[in-house]
Amino acid sequence: MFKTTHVALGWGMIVVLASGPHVLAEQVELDVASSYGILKSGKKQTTWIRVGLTGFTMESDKERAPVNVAIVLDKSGSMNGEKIERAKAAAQDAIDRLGPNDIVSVITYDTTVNVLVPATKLTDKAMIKSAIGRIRSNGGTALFAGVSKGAAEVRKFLSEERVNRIILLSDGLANEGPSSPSELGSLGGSLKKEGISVSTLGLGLDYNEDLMAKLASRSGGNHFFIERATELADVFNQEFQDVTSVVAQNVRLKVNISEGIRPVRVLGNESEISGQTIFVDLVQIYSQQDKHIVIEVEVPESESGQRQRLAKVSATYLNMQSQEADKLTGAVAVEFSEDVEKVEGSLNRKVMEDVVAFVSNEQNKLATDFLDAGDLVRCAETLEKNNLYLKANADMYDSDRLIQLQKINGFQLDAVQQRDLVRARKDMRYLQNSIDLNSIEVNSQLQVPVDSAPAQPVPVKK
Amino acid sequence: MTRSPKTLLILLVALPLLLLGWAGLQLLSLEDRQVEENVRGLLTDRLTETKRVLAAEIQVKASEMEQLTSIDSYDVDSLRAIVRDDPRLFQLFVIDPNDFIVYPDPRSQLNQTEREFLLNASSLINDRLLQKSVLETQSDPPDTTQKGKTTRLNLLSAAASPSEIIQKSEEKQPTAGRWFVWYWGPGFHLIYWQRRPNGYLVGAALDRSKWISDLIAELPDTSEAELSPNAAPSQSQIVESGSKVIYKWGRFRPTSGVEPSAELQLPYPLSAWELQTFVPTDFVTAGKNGVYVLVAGLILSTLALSGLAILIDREYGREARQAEQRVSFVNQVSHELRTPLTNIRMYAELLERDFENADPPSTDSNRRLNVILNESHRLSRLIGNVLTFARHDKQSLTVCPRMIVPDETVVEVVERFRPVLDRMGIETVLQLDARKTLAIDADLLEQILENLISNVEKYACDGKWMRIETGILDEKVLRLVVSDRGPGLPERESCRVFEPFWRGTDEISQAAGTGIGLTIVRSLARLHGGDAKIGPASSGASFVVELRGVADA
Repeated sequence: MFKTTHVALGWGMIVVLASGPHVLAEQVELDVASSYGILKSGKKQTTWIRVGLTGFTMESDKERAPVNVAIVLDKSGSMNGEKIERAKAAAQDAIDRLGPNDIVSVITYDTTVNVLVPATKLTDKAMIKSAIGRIRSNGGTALFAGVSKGAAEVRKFLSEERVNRIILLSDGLANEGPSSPSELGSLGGSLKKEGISVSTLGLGLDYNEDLMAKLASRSGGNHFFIERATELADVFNQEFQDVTSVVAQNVRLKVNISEGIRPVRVLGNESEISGQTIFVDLVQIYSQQDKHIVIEVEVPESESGQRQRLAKVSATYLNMQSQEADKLTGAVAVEFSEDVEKVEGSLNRKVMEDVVAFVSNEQNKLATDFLDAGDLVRCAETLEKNNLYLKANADMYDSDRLIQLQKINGFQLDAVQQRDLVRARKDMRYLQNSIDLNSIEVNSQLQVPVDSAPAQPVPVKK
Repeated sequence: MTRSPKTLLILLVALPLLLLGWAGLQLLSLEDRQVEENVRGLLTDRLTETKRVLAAEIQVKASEMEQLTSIDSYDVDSLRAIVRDDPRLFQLFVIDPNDFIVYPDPRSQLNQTEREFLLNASSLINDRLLQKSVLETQSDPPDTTQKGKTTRLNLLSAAASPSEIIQKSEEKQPTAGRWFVWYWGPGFHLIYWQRRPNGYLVGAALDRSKWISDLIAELPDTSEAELSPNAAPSQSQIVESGSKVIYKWGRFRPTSGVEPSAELQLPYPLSAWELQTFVPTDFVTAGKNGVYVLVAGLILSTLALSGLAILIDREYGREARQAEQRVSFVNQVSHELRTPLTNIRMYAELLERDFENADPPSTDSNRRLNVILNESHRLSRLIGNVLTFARHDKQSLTVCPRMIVPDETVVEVVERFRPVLDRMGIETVLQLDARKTLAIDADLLEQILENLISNVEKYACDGKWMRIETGILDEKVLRLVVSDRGPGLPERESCRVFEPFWRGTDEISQAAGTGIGLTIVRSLARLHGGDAKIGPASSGASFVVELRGVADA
């Protein structure tokens, strides 16, 4: 468990300018920095630009933005028993957390979909809770249709001033209607454009983590791996904590990379690189959340003493406290020097920490690909290398966060070595979503001692 | 009677029941078909409603896309901004009047979705499929605009019917732009395109997941499907390309592999989609109550008919017993009459001989005695006939053939009738040619001949003429023909003369008779392996009797 703290801005940051009519209202902070403030002159090199937005602290629950949430519950046959009961209890608790200005709808699905509670203002909590209490499980898993109906309910009250979200709980493979990760991902992408994100809660060991993680990632929502139904209440709590602490919404970044500098890739959130311009839809920022991306760029060789602007950044968002559209701009530049010590001294640890986190995340995804290919040896190798990489960098930058990530990688490596592949894979997708979307908390389901986890023979994939 | 009345009665009960059952089953299956037809109609109506909803939604999308693709400046950044922000879009594309793709330009730096689009749609653009379909539509418009014009004229003259206006609005839409269906990845994708006035073709590839999700949002969920009026437990679904289920709704869960109760194809551009609906099979094949009603009805009819049959049986039985009693009474009386009659005849004959020997002969007494003799002969024939008839009815007649010369018997009988024939002035012609011995029952032959002669005496005495022919055919068949010159037989009744109790006329003036004479003739002839028929006659009647001589014993 780890929280990123806002540390002093790096050398490379030139300007952070906040423009908005409401000076009184708190602002999201924009922070643009490069990994080195000074680059070695006379050679072509790769460097990283970090663009971060930090959510302000929301003082009390009263000032939070109203939410418009659709709870989409899988009530297929496999949910029978403890799972459905826990899910119902968690959903009922969640209802209790919300206020009269919030809008809630409850959708259940098995083979078909049922809009149990159409989108309504939360004035009659008891009615909604009793409706949830009456849910009985059986049938198939029409996940696509469940999300579609959830989206339709959210759309009824769709507003920029509300936090619009679908919370999807499923424990099984989607088997009715469109059910490929690409189709669900595409749905998530389109919902994100509408301003609706989908948080997916995968329960147990039988759900399709690719589908659930993709739906969440592409829509800008959270993805959770919940191995035991007993944890459902906590996860619902965490999710609603996030939903009710959104301080900025409709957050869009536009990064103009200076001519001559080549954008290679964007690490983290889904992005569009169109020529020299990068567009990122960050969807929303929670209270105190550090939302950021890292852009890998190729800088051409330059003479010592030269100064080069790397990028100009503009961020637009809707301040959920003031309900005003705000705009932030920033830029980052580097100097060139022959002096290696000077170059080393200009290192921005915070930027590097995120670079390492994202790079290790890419390695983690690679390990998942090896796992899917049935190449357990290379999967373990990749995780092992990643572990070393994280360890080295954690030491170098004295980062608790990287140690945390290293631990989780270690758990996953152990799980792969013990052929506990289903859990390992689900945990990997869980981690990957958390890092890409800069979740406030990064968790692992594998850190519990093995003996308390249900022992199960796990077939090797393929 | 060969069949027992019991069998007849059982048939009487069984046949109507069978008929009733068959008709009932026919009716039931007809009703089943009708109910099935009705249910199917109802289900199809519901699907048609769904189809309408989907078509309307596609129409909305078409007009949205029509607006969205109305772009006349093709600046890459602004096009990208549209794609980036519009949740409905997968990608936009622009093709210039020379059929070259302007956006996304494959030679420029592409972003990820542009690359993905070109990868999947390259053949669509390279093969100029859209352009070809443009050519097709370009030949359409003049026709459509003409229609539009005439409609407008109609409107001006205030003669347009509402349907024409609808027609116009329906036709106006597709002329501006149209859907194109393109397959890649998980299924078919919708592309909407239009040709701008500047000659550029602007197309929008829609995000498949988004429009499917939007269509699903328009369709009923399970509880809505159940709330609708005349709701039956049902399940409807959209199926793509025959097998891939897109969306299901309704509470009913059909077993897999069951054929849908109703199906409906969706119109272009959703023609790869099919609407299907399932209802429980017992719902389609109506209530099985019909069968219960039928069975109950059959049981009731069985009871009613059986009751009736028992009543008829009882009634018929009583009458039959009464008739039997009467017949046996007549039989016994006839038997009782025969003994005194025989005595009368014997003593009358003795007396006749006495008179013949008397001197001088008493002609008067002789004549009276003859009357007594003739009448007693006639009475004994009558009794003989009654007894024969009764025995025939009981099937107790037997043939006792003896070797005889038939002609002798014939002459004997004719001699016996001589006094009567003489008195009535009937001229008798004998053409006898049966002088060989044959194995024939003489009593039977006598009785046949007596009956035929007494018929002539009774009915044809006006002709004053009778001829009896005999002959032997094939060495062993005796042929006997008795003809007269009487009134003859009516043509159309000639086949009925052998039926018992039939008489030529009901006139009281007619000679008396029992009506069983010819019946006995035919029965006896048949008993003897022959037959009795009406022979050809120019005037009067002619009866032909054949008796088959029994093989030499």
